[in-house]
Amino acid sequence: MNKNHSTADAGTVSPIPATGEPGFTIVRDFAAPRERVWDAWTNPDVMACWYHPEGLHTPRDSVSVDLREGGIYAYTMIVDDTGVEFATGGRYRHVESPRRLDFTWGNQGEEDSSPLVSIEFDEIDATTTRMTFTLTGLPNDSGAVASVYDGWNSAFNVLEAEVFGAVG
Amino acid sequence: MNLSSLFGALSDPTRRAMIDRLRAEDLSAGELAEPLTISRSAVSQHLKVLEEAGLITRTKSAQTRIVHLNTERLATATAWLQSARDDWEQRFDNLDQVLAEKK
Repeated sequence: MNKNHSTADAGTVSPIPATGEPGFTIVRDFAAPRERVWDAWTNPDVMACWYHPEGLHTPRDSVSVDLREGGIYAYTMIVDDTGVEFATGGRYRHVESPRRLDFTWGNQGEEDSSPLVSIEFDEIDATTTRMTFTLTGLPNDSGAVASVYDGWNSAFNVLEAEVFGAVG
Repeated sequence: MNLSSLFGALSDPTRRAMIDRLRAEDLSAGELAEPLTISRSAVSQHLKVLEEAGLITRTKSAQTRIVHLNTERLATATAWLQSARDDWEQRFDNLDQVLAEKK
């Protein structure tokens, strides 16, 4: 557990000096125009179709979106087998259609102390969109995005070292 | 668990540097402070934050307070991070299908 080496894993982890500022990033190419990918992230009708991990679903009437900086979104995921509910949501920090979307992501009611998600959408060609998704930890203030990045990206250095130190 | 206080404690480079050193061995507050250019009271403040987040335990030994890293607390945070990553990967599998269907 205390081993301090890290294993390179493209898109996931960066090696971890205490001064570094990586986060966890997932890059995916989707076979759709950028506007459609943006719509999937911001249109409640479409969000309800995919905004949950395996074994859960999101009822359409649980999804609400106030798509503007400072606006709140919310949705409830329900475990298929048990009916256990997760009331999830966050606050939009940056809304720049169709290129970039930042929002906090966590429990409803904790919009300003939840992890920050930042997504960039790049047009590879007319029918391919590259999504770069970064989860950077928990904001420790309610306003300045820059300070959120400064503070929270680096928290993951330690965490990632721990994960991959243990696994590798 | 209180994820906010845990990640908050890990957000600061000085505290992360302290954690890095504590991975190797238990240290006194004085030893922790030695390579740092900050005041004693700042060191105490950082230790307090780490302690409140459950990341360290301090025990008294004679006149010295020994600081011990709670690695399982780090592991908890790590598990959360790993699980969040897995969940998002699964969402993106769904999204792939949704985008394919709606052509």
